[in-house]
Amino acid sequence: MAPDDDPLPALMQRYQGGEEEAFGEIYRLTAPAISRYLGRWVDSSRVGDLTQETFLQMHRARRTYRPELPFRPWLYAIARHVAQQALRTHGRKTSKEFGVGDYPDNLHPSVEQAGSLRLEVEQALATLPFDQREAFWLAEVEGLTSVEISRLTGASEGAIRVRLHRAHKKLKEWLRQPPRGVGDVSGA
Amino acid sequence: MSAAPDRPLPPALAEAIRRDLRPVRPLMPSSARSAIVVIIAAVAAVVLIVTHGLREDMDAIPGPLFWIPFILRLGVGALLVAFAAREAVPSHGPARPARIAAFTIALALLVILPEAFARAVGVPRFPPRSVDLVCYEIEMAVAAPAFLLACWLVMRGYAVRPLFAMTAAGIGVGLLADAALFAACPIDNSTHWMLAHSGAVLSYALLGAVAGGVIQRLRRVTSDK
Repeated sequence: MAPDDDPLPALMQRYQGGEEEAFGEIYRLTAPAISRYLGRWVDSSRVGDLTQETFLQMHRARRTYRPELPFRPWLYAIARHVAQQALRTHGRKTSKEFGVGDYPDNLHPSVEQAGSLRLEVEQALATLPFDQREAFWLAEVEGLTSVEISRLTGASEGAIRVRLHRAHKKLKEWLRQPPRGVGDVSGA
Repeated sequence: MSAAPDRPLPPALAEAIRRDLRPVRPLMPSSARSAIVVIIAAVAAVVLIVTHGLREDMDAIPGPLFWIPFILRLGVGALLVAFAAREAVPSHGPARPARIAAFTIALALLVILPEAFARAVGVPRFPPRSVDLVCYEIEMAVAAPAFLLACWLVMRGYAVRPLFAMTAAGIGVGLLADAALFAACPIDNSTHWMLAHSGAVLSYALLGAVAGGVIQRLRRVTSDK
């Protein structure tokens, strides 16, 4: 979405002014993406709770948002923080726990190919180290720029570009190999 | 965000938001917040200079030998305060290499500057008063108002790395006070500076780290409820 067309900064200002409807609209527009992102960190049974927790924390942090700052990295940074807090208590999702259902609908090209292609992509993603997988997800699925990913993860922009480059390279290598079995994510 | 199907707002979340939906004013820009902390630190420094006077050997010290350590302390201190102010806004904090570099430089200054200065002015390592800790108390007192203000400003925000934010605030205001004491303290040997002055800066770093840890823990406890 082009920055000028993005309704979120204006909604956020209305929400800071105390409008409940603005919060509801922000939730409607962003909750699915936040759930998908949290699904990269924790197993699917906890995504719903952590999505709600992210919006509660967003409420606590709402005074820190300024219209000149990009909204999405700000919200993802809060979601990331919530996920990290949860991981300290419950542990990280392992690569084998990545499910086909976690994948957003906009990644597969056709209904016929969806099952096998999604599975292949999921398996390939599961072989990536977590920081590369997170960078790839935020860039290719959620559409964030490397500057925005850098801001929300706290890594340098150069480090994010390296992670994305390595992720692309590994995924290409993986997808060029013959198809594997469903449970085989032992590495390319 | 990519187009997504509508998702109803969970009633419990809606209720929690409704209970606390008062208008809020956005935080000031991080530059303004850090400037306020630096100004308070400067006021405390002026009060110190007015009450204690400048160091007795001021006239004997060559200009660069005084100004370079003074400006280094001031600059790195202000930078760390600015980092703490930025860190109070999610996704606005400095990148990891900048954080590591700032902490490394600050800690190096605490060791290198006293030693280099003492060697340059030719002071023995353990002269009388080298373990005089009055300066520790003075430096702690000079840094206190700016530290309290910095902590309050960080807590008004939402630091996703509270440990870093508060530690940076602690070392930052400590270094600002250290610059003020450098202009006032008449004892030049490095043992005194490392114990009394660098010790005060490290004490504020520790206080900041403890406060940051408490914030992190409280947030986790609140989330688990």
